[in-house]
Amino acid sequence: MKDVLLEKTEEVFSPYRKALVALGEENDKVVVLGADLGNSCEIDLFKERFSERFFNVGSAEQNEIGCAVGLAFEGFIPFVHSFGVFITRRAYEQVCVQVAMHKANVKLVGVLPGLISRLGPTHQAIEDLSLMKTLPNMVVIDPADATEIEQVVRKIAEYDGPVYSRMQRREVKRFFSPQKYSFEIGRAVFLKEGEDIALVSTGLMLEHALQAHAMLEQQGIKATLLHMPTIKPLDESALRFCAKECGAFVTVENHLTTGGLGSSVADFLTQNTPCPLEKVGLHDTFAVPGTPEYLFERYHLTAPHIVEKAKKALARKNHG
Amino acid sequence: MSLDKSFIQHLEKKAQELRRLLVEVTFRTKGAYLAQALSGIDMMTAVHYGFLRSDPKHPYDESRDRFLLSPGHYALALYVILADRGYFDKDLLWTFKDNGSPLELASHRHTVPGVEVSGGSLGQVLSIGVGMALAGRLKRNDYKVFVFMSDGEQDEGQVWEACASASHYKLSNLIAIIDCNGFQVDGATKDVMNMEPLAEKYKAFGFDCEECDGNSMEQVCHALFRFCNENNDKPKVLIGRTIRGKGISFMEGNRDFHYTRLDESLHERALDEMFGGDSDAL
Repeated sequence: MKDVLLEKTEEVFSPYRKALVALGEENDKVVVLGADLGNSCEIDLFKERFSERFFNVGSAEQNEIGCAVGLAFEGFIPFVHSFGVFITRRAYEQVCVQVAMHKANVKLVGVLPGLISRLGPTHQAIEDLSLMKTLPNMVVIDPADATEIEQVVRKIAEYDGPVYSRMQRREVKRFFSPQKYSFEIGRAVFLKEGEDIALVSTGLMLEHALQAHAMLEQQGIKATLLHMPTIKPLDESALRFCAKECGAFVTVENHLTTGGLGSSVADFLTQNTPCPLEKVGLHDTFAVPGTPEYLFERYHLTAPHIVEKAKKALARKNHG
Repeated sequence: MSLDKSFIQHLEKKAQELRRLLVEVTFRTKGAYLAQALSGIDMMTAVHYGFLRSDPKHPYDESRDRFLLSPGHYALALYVILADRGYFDKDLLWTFKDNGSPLELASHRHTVPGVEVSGGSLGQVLSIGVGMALAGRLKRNDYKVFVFMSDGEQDEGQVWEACASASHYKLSNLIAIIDCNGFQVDGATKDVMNMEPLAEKYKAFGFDCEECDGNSMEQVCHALFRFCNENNDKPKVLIGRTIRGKGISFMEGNRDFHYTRLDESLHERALDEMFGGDSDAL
């Protein structure tokens, strides 16, 4: 296991905005669609640079999906944007029938993952991973940091088929070394090794999972930290390894605890190597509006809560 | 291409041939959305045999005009045309909607050559047409995109989202055709959900609009001829007023025939009316 983490975490402004332009330069088949949220989805620079390959359909997500499918049928690679809630909830049937069913080469990009929006439950994509994951043919990704965002953009353009990826915007942390880290669709990455418990985290929860790992270490609990950016397809061999080495799990996600990462891991474990699992995430509730810091604390998504769940899973393993 | 009488007569004759094929497939395979196929077959015949740049030997040729069928329930009308034109073996028609047959009850993309989209869920295909028309412009390819819709699916909000974008992007290469037979599943469209005046709505959305008797080959051809030969920067729509079950008197405008099964006596009556009892094998 090479150390792919930077010694010192950095902060990057708008990595997606730049990555999309870089992709546009490399590949003239890439077209970008927006639904009125150009600046908010960080596709405005692509529009400036490649106006001919940019289409704003207004706030009409159902039509946006259809237009993207038409472009994909004609050989283009559409990157389709809105907030995560609108592109999944509002256009669900279009995504199911036209994108997933046809294996159309469409990349759905859902900005503002989980509890990041300040606008409350209408804008908090808390079940987007679940909705997308359940569709046959759909690849589902929740990138953790700036490095991963830069690599995900390129990788999903290379992949021929439907993808849903969450997207962070504005100030985004950089945990991974761009030189050492390498994102692959469907591959989880071992960041820390330990035999007591496996923490499996996705998306921006990496930050909290890293803190939780350090806290556990101080308390003499050795945890494996598995970073899992791809929710579907699931990296089963990594999970099998964790089950064998650690025998207990905590899943950590910025999402409902039903239908997302936790459910996928639970599904796999119950059918293969059953062992204790605790889930960190939003528990069967809509969240109130608020700052991410406030919400993460209120809904128990921060490091101390991960530690608490880890101890619970560990106790179940030892006394189960 | 000119619009002389013989051209129109040829298409009228073709539509009659196809009507007969529709009746035969419905009878032999024990059911189809025949009434809808009969209302739309004249306009579909006009497009496919009169105006569509296409070659059955090269069904995926880049420069072909795209024909997109939005209401998948009209699949049989498209299948008989594609079979007749040689996109696939005509004998396949007798397997219509059998388990495992590519000729499904509602049409799905690429099950057979010439079927470009899946239309089972209504109101989605005009958007795909918009995407294909945008793609044509990007590729500097002058193909046209024909989107065939039903009147019932005009209820769907997505149709109007697509209209706004077609007009906004000045998609002059997009030609929508609406089969207005006046019926949807629950009854007459004017009673279920009145979307009239449809022509005014499309005009207000920036479309170049023609409205005519959609079962009159002459009127349909004149509208399509103008759309295909007159340059303006607007998307086009042909609103064809049609009669459900057109050509078979006991089906015409009769809401009992949303889905049609023809027993032997109805089959005979249909053939008798349309062809004076000539029931030669097809």
